[in-house]
Amino acid sequence: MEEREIICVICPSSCHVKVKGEKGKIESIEGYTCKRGKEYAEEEFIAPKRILTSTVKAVGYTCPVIAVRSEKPIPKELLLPAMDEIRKVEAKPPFVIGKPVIENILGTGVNIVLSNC
Amino acid sequence: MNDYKYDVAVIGAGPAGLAAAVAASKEGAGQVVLIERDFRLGGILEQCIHTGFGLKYFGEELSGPEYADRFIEILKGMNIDVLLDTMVLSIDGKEHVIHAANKTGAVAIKAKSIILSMGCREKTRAALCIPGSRPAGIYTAGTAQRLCNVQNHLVGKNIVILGSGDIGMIMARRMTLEGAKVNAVIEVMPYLAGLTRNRVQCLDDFGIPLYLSHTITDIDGKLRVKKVTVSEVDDRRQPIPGTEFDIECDTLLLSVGLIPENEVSKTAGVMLDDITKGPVVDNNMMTNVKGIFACGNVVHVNDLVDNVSTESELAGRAAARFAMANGEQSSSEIKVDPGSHVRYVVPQNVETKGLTDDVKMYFRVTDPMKNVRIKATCGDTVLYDAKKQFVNPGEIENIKVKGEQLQALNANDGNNITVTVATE
Amino acid sequence: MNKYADVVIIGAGAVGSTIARELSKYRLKVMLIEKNEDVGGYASKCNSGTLCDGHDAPPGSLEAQMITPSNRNYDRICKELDVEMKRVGMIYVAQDADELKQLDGIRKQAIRNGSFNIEQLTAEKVHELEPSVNTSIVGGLLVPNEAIVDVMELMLANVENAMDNGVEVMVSTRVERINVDEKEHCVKSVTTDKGDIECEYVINAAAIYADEIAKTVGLCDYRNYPRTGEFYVLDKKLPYAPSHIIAPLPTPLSRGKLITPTINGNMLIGPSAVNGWDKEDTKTDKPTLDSVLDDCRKMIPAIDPRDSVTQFTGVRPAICPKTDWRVRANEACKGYIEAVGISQGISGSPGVAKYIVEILDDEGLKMVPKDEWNPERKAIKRLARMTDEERDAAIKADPLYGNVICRCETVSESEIIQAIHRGPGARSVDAIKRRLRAGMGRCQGGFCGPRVIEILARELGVPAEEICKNEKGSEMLACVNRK
Repeated sequence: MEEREIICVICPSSCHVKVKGEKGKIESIEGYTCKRGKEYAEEEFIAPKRILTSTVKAVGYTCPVIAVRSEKPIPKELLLPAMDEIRKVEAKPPFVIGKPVIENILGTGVNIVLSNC
Repeated sequence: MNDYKYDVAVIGAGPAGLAAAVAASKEGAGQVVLIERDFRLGGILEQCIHTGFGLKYFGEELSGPEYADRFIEILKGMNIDVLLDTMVLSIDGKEHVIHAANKTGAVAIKAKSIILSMGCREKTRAALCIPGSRPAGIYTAGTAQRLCNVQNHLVGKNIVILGSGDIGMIMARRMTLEGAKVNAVIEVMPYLAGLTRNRVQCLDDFGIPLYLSHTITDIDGKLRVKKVTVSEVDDRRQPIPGTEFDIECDTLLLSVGLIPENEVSKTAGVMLDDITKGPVVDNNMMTNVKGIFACGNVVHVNDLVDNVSTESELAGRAAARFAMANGEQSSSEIKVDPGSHVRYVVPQNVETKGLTDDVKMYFRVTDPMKNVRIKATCGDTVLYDAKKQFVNPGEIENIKVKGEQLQALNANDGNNITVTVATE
Repeated sequence: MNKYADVVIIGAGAVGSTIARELSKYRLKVMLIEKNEDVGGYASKCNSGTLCDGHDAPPGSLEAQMITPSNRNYDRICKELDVEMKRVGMIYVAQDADELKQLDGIRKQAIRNGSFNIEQLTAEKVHELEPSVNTSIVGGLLVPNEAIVDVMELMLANVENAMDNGVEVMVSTRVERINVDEKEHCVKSVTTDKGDIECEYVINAAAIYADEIAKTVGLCDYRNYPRTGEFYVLDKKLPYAPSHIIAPLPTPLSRGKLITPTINGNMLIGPSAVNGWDKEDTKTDKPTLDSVLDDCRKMIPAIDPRDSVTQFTGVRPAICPKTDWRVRANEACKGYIEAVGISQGISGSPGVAKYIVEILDDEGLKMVPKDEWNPERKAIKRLARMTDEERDAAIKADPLYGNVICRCETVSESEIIQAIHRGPGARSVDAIKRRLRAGMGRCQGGFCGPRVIEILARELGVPAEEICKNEKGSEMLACVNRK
């Protein structure tokens, strides 16, 4: 049985939410003061996700690198493996915000796209 | 020399300058120029590749460059001149002439209204008087960020970060993702300086320890940083002898505060607020020099770029109106003072003549407090009175005061407006 | 490397650089050797930037004989070298009647040393001249000849002019020993870490390392040790900044902690004076920094450490036993000449240089003046000091003058490129900083740093990761990120 104290980041109250559970199932959850906080803590406990932002090598750009981001959050545990993929690619012109640089990164269904132009 | 004449000249094309220039042009200013020292528009946002911008203004979670691009796209469709790679050196406040330099020569720009939006610089190791050696490897977090995200260089591999400001925490994550080891974040206050969200996503996510109520009391290493000595501090933020421990590292990143960059403002004769280090402004973001306005981090250090955009649009509109009015404007000003538990309030003056809109007042508290009552009064008149659950110095608060109420105040009473915060 | 020189000068600090310029006036092959990666020595780079007038030297000493005429000559020298200096004058301030009496002793000594324009000041006069001085001050002494200068600029100018006139300069070159002919008891060569230099005369101007050099000749009857001095550099245009140097009564160890306006508009407080063991230790520490603050606040109470731009430690080349300056030929070894045990180096170096010429002449070196010797050296034209019209003209002639790299001190890309390629060119971030002040401003290199590194890498044709703050091992960057 895992018990974690999750600090909610939805609003400045920063409620400390205690979540107990195992194997992707929540047994108990307490300490939240609103619905959004409860949802946040649940997702953080079961399948935390993060937006990944970084830079890739850029050929033919004003700088040697250009900013990229994951379009949507990806599983937290894939952040460092995703970095390995990002290190392998190069961006080429045209440089348009939203243009995919890596499609479906690590099978998440999420693209890594240009975040600058 | 290149002499230009404009209605509105904006200095700095970061989020503040971009929003102000667009707003000034929309308000009807015919000739607007945006002067930027870097090679592209966007200012500091261009190196802030992380997301978290635009949640308020656009209802979306954007990266810094994406946020800047929204305004740049609008700007492209407007009649706004842009001078890049151009450094403003001084302003003649009386004649309203901006003296700048770029590769074409000395540039003199005369404008009816001038908007100062130069942003901030970072507080340095020296400003904190941290003793020790002066090796390579000591950087402010923003400089390390530029080196990484724009120039593609890592400043170090084995890092300690002083200061739990947002920039420091963001760089903790950034450097970790690039393969560096971030050993610790050291914070002198007993509470986090930046947003909790960043603590979770930049420190906790990567197991980076945060030492509250600690500071760095020595830096060692003759040529390159070798180690730092960390000490616990007491409630007066003085190091407690006997609590020292060393952390070996090759890099020290500092995220210990931002200072509004007002060297150019001083040349114009603009009066600065001793606490904010930014110009004293009224509710139109006008400084004490008629026709010179200021907005964004150059006025006071903001938390959200979204608020910077809103505040800057106000300045842009006011600057445009001033330019189009073309002459003397009579004034009736009331001073705004920070009261108990309030560190500073912006604007520092309220211009009541012709005031129609409500006025937003931004302030920071001196300590974290729970269950407080925020009040704004002028003599016996209560302008604002409401309760709030949490306030803390790391997050700017704002209150809205009704325009009619302010207009009704008599500037000749000798009363100032005071904003206070007190526990219930 | 197999080289030959008539004279090898060890150390390119204040003394060595000035001797180099003086010797460049003669038909001699002169080599100036510096172990650091840039000229400017060690103590000479980190001090209060004062050209002393000699009033406080021991009367009749070589020190007094060197400093006083040097001071009087500096207007002409600085004009020739295009270096700005300002005779701001120094005011001693007395806290009580006892100190007033000591001031009188200083005044008498000053007159013996030829500082005739020294002037006693009443408390009122002190406060009239310097309103920010503590109201508790009971009187003062004005020494009008004390001047301020950018010492690095002055040393650099000396070296550039010397090079212009034929002196060869080698930096990052450490002298390991002086080689002596056993039979003749004379200098035959110098061994450096870059090879040997055959020579007849060697001048030991290695300051704090002079004893280590002297030992290689077997002629060391002294020991050099560090006496550190910690400083605060405060901001420009401070409301409490004095226009004169403000000084307390001197101590046996030093002139005391001064308050000095710098030639660039900043304010300097310090230095402290602490004897130590490690010649390489330049760390600042809190108790000493606090003592600098406390002592200087006794003279100007409004001093605020929050107005700090930076703090640093200078290391004086102290000598034991403490005697008069040792500028002399050595009888036991012909050709070995010493210029050691010198304090306030830059203040007396012109005098020392001329004295060295006499010594070399006495020692048999043919000193034939060069007709074509050029006394003039022109500094890099500085954007920060130009009027609008001058700026426009400079940029039109060289567009890179319009690319401002250092915001705080207004330094352009053109100046940085010039500094890299002229004279003993700058190769490091600190070398650029010392020549142009880029990185010395309020943001301490936060804005210009990344750009300066890029320009250095490009101009020197090396990867940015090789650019150092100063010596090898102080690389600014760890590595390229995306390869």
